[in-house]
Amino acid sequence: MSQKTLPVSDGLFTYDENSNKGKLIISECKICKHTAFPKIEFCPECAKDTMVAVELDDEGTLISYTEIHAPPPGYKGEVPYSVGIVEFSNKNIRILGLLAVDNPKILQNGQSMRIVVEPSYKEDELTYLTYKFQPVN
Amino acid sequence: MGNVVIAGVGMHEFGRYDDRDYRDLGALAVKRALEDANMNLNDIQAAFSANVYEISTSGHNVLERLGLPGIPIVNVENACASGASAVRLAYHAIRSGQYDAVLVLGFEQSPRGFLHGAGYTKWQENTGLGANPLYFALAIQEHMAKYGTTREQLAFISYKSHKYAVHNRYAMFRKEFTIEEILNSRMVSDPLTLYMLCAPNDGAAAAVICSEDYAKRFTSKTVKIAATVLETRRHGDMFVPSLSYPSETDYPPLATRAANKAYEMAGLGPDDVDVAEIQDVDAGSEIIYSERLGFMPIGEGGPRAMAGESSLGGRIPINVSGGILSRGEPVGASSLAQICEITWQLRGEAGEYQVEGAKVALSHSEGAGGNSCVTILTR
Repeated sequence: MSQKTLPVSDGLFTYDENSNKGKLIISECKICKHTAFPKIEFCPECAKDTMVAVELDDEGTLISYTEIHAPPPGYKGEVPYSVGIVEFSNKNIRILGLLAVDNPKILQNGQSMRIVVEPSYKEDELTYLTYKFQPVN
Repeated sequence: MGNVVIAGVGMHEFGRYDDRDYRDLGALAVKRALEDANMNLNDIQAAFSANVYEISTSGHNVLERLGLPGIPIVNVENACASGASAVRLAYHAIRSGQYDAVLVLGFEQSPRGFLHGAGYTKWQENTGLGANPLYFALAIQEHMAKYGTTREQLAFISYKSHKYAVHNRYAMFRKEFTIEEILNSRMVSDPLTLYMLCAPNDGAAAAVICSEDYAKRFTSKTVKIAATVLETRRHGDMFVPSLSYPSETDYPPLATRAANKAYEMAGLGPDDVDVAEIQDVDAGSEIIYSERLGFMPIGEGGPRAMAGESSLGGRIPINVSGGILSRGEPVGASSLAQICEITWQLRGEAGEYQVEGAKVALSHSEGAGGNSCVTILTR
């Protein structure tokens, strides 16, 4: 990418600059194995200081999706855009995120999704990147 | 221990009031509730005041309009469940013997458009993830894929709401729509169209909560608070503004936990309920909550609503006041409006949308942060 890029927020994901492949940074409790995204300091189940950051690059399953036509408050991208919930059953977690899909009509609940990192919006000549879920074809 | 009752209720019509202040809205609702209870503010010993968007001591500012009687006033904020949360505080204050009469008020002048401030981070908003309707859309889309719930069934929920709201002087939208008009209205977050979503607006509601013995000195038309429950989100309950939740939990959903506690407290079950006002911020939510509250088998909320089971004359009339879809949602006042509506139902004063002979009525409110309130009233 020729333009300068920045993540929309630090600590959400890592990515390979030469491809759009991404990994989500989740927290996992060393003791009770509870998981959370974005990463957090204390375990939401046992409230102990036992959370470790883990990179998630598994394929997940699409649980639900929607295409949004009305721009919500604070949104800096374009409409319409799609959002979905993807389940990563190995880590017992479902995560909400944008979908990297041009035509949401092709989406099917239950299909496999991978994690990618792509532009979300542009501002002051900077392109802001975020994680998205993309159908695995 | 004596019963705790509602001695009087009152509302300010829900709508858009650019020329009025939240103080005006709240004061009128309180005045009407006091008149309904045949009381004045000097008969009240404390007030719990529900509001979401004003900065500080808004309850004090409202009651100032009616002559500050020097009673303790506590301001309560719990998103959509603020009013019912305040009712619960009043109930327990009376039950403990601290007071005989507590005023509960709720009011709001909503910011226009989608509701800000449900706790989203800046990056969630910037990337388009900070919008309540998308959470509602994701919930019902999963339901549709899993159980075969249809767009027509969603449209029917809105159709039903608006059909009844024509008769409700407190509702903002009092115009009937056809199923086709609802389906063809502007798409907001697929499958939810504009007419399948509630609008944030302005309004107020109030209730006078008393010990039964105290209330008898003023009025004979009391209804009993048989249950008042506030349940809060656990890690497994997906709700705004959270971004993740576990795939599997060993506990039922939030609304079910709240309802089960309320049924237990009242010694009643969902089959005993004659009329209910539930959190229909969108058409999908009414279907999902009608199941989670035990009124419909899981997955059958859509077809059973369309078959008339939740209409007037049906097995369990739901939101026959028009609900939030037609009333609009001034957040701090919304759940108290539900409690006003079910109070009128139990007193036989609901007019064109009266459920004949209603003896048990339920209100359910659920909102940001994962607050779920279930209140059961009986006569």
